[in-house]
Amino acid sequence: MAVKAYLRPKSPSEALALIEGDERAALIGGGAYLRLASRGYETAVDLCDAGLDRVRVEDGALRLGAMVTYRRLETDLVVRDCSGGLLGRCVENIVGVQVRNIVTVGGTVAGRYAFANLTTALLALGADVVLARGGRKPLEQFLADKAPARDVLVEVVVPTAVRRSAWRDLTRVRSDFAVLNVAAVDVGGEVRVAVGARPGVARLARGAMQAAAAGDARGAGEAAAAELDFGDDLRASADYRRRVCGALVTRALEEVLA
Amino acid sequence: MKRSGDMREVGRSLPKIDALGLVRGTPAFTDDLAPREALCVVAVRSPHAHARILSIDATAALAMPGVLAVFTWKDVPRVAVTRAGQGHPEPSPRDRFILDEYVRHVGDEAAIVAAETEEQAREAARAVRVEYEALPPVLDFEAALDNPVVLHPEPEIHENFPIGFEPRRNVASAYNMHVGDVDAVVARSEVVLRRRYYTQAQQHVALEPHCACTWLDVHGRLNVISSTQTPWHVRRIMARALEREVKEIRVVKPRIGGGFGGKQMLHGELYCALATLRTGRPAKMVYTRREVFEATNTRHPMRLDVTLGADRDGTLRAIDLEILSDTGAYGEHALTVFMVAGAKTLPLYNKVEAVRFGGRTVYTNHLPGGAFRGYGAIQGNFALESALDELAGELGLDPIVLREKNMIAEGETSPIFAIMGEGTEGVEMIVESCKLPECIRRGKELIGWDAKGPRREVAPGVFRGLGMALAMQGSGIPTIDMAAATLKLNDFGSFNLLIGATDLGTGSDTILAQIAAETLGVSTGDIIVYASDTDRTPFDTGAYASSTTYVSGHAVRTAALKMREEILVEGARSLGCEPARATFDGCEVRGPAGAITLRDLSAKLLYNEHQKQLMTTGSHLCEKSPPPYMAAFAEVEVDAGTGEVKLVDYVAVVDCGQAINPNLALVQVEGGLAQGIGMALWEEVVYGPQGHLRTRDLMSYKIPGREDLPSIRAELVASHEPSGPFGAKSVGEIGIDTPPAAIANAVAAAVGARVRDLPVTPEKVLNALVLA
Amino acid sequence: MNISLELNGRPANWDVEPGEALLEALRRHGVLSVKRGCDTASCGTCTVLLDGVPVPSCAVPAPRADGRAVTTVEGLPDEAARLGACLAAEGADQCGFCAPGLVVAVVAMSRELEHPDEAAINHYLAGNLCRCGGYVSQTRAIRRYLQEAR
Ligand SMILES: Cc1cc2nc3c(=O)[nH]c(=O)nc-3n(C[C@H](O)[C@H](O)[C@H](O)COP(=O)(O)OP(=O)(O)OC[C@H]3O[C@@H](n4cnc5c(N)ncnc54)[C@H](O)[C@@H]3O)c2cc1C
Ligand code: FES
Ligand code: FES
Repeated sequence: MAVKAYLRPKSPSEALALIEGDERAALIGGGAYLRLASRGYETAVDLCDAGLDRVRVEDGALRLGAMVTYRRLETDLVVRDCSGGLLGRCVENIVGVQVRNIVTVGGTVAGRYAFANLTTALLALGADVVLARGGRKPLEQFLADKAPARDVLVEVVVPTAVRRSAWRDLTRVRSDFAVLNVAAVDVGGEVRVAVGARPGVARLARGAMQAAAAGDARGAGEAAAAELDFGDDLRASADYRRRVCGALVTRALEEVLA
Repeated sequence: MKRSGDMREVGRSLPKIDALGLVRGTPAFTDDLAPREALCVVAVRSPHAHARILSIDATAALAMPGVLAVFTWKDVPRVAVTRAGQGHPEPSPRDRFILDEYVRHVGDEAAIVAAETEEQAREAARAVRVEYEALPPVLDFEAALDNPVVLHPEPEIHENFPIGFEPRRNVASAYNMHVGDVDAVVARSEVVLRRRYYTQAQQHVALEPHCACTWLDVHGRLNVISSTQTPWHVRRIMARALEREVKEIRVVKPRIGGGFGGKQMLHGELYCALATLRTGRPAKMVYTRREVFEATNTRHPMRLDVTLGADRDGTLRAIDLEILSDTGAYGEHALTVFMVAGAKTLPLYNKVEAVRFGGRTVYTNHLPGGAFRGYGAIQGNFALESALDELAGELGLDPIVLREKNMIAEGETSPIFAIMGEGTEGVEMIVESCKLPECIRRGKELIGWDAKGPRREVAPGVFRGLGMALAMQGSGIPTIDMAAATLKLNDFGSFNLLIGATDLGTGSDTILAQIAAETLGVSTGDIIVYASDTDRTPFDTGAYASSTTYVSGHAVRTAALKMREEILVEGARSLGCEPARATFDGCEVRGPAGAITLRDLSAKLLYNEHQKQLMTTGSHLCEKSPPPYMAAFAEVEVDAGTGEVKLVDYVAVVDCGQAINPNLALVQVEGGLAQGIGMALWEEVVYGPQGHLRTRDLMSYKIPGREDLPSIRAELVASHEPSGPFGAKSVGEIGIDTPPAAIANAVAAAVGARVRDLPVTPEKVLNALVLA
Repeated sequence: MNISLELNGRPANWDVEPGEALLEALRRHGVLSVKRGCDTASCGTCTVLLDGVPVPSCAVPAPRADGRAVTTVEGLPDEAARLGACLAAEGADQCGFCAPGLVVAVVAMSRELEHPDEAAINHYLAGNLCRCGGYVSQTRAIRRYLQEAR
């Protein structure tokens, strides 16, 4: 199927109207990933003019427009201050600046990519997503949605009460997809841990969070390795992932709890 | 011959002559030069690892807009060829057709489509209906021999001379040799070490994907521009496959975006030619990155069994190396790569009483193996240099001391030089230049071998370790590699240098110009290079086997010496004296009673007096293959909690003879090391259970980026090879050989985890740690 | 569909396919310095500046360039000549296939980063792969270029 039309809606609602009734229409955020997918769409709905590239702090929360790029997460001082640097750190090694100049928060989150570092970090931070139709919901719930409706992700809302944060990932070459990624944060006194690229989509490690609440980083690592599911893929085996999960979670928590 | 002290052009780090043009993005690569109106040629590729094509229905595809032709195996000559791109007759089996009724790996060509645009061609390729009868694939190379599934039952295929070809047993080639009685010497040795190692398939990943274009010129001749390392072999093999005369084809190599052996083989050339010959239209075929991964070649994966016999004092007495090599679907370079695994490693330890080498290469439904920088030597090196470290461990010796005690030295020889060539016998050779002791001394100093010690804990659970390896390679294929060069004197004193040699980006055009300039006594800027055109330049076997500087360099020097003679004769005539009484210093010819500048003489010769064109040709047959040598040292940091290995330092000291252009020699080493490090730690071609490639883009197949490599430190030691042009040996390949062993040795030193199958992944390190 | 863009400082009016990448459109319109090395935004050979920002042109929809400025090496002749001279002096240039994309990225870096040290250079340029060298001499050349530019 060749792409027959290219449209640039001026708002999320206009974008929603374009995709809602049309199975062959696809949203373009950064477009980096879409182009790789088998081109199963006829109408490209590019969000670049939909006014979604804003970063603002409102009601004690950081609101990241869907079209905010990774590079912005790295360089924007507001983002850095609000997330304790976590949002920049989790993406700073992804490919190169060229790619990070185009790939977006919205494309990553909406794509529900299992490998996505950013999703792991946002999950640990306790972010919510705001959808043009579906409204606001916790990211955790959004990721768990088995049959998501066609919708436009408008923004991601991140709590700003981040006291400490830590990022750990394991890659082959530096710019590669993670074999496993771990984000740990202390948000307003609550320690939260998320683990992604297992290779399943990011999940909170609740057992680990409990152990962390008791200040036990080692126990948290063991809990995470025991409670999460791990699988094999090109990059590593389930067994290896489980073994290093403990180490990475422990190290991340040692940093957060210190 | 001149020594480095009094040379003006050779030994200087001159800028590459094409540097600025390339940085500016001047159209210079095949796809940049393809005629605008060229048809796009696209292959329909097999989704099966092994299948017979029952039928192909191209009706729908042919009806699509812009589609001009679809070719299947029924439309092409049934002539068995090898696409290896080697000399004539090739040491690889002729086991392939332009298109065949059988497909033997996922991505193998099933049909070919030509259309006006690439998009149209790709759409049409999707619309070609191919009905396959899927056959059981052979995916385990250790189970390929005498497997009930035979990959190559076709009667037309053959070997050109005995290479141990037994297609009914899935054997592409076999070879065995020995010196002395290995079993007896091993039995008498005080210590015996037997180890099994595996090396993986690696892909070249030249950043320019494979590309070719063709058209018919005004004379109706088939013109080919191809991103190839071997224009003459391409021409010859195309002629055979297409049942044409060699004289009907012209092949030109423009600038090419990296080769590393991956462009020694033929790829799109034959398909473009089909389209052009059928339609009369220019055609081009530009591989996508995915096609490069799915449908070109890999390094041959190998299983290497090493047995070392030694005495307690570290005297090495016997080496036995037995190899099983996976050549994949076709036997390209099957025999020669496998032989080089022994031929360019075993002579390093020439003092043994007995040495044995042997094994075979087998067919599987994997990507075909092919030439790849290192060419077997890297595989052999990993096994041998790992085993030596393991032996040193058993003997409680410093691995360097063990090597120093047993390694080859200047003035010595190895029986292997004479016994093993590439596909044939070798030639006897005394090693006239070997600076291994200097390489080791300097490398130890740079890495801090003695100061640091083999292992240190730098943070809780984090260990640093040092490892090293030696390597050798060759310089051209003796009695086979041949190169020629022509020099033409232009008015006002410049020269055209016409060479068959193929610069892959290595800078060989520049180096050969430097050799011409040095010999003539002129400046490199006065040499205008034109290269790699089968119509317009003399012959060259091509850029492989580390031959260009050593072999083509000689040809250039010979042509230039002849040109000097002619200039002297003509200058003397102009001055009215005997040539014997005239001298030429590159600037002017001076006689007893006066002088004439080259500038004036050259203009006179074309316009005014005794008019004639001065043009000389030199050719050179490689008679021996003096090895370059190197000592390399790796420092790694291993995280015992995750198995992660960080390469923190890599030092390589190389004896490549006199470097014609030190900067370009060093970047060859540097680039080779980067690829070798990639192979040691990350790069790996991975197949799924049905033989589908899982690494088919640069997101799944990872080559090193600039943050993955340490600041590699490469140095050259002073050396002079008497048989080489201005003392040069080769440097193109050797850089790649050491990283797998040096890094594996360093990891073992750091945490005691010995990884014997490449790449050394964190997972394997962690597993080995648990075992250790 | 029709787009208007500024290509290397000059207005251009192109007919592009709605589904094609900027890389394809550029090459089709004769801007041949922009190379296709991978198709998956992984190699950096197709780097161009879009409104001054370095992007992989293989991953940018061509119609997105409508109303924007695209800069390639053809539009950076002085920078290319100077960086080219540094690369050549260090012997860092090999096949040159990665070079145009590298020049564009280095120009972007020199505008974005004040005084990048070696680590910062390597990090900024991590998306520009080179298979011929080992990056060491390339980095030396880039440092020399930045020094001379100052
Ligand atoms: C070469 C390469 C390597 C990468 N490596 C990594 C890595 O190592 N780690 C990592 O975490 N990530 C990696 N990524 C992924 C990258 O970080 C992004 O997650 C990915 O590119 C998607 O972002 P995008 O903006 O390009 O999305 P797009 O490709 O534009 O869109 C992705 C999907 O989301 C939909 N979509 C886009 N925007 C919206 C929206 N606002 N609302 C609803 N749906 C939307 C699209 O229709 C599409 O289905 C890599 C990407 C590339 C190209
Ligand atoms: S072709 Fe665009 S990054 Fe490789
Ligand atoms: S010089 Fe060849 S890829 Fe960089």
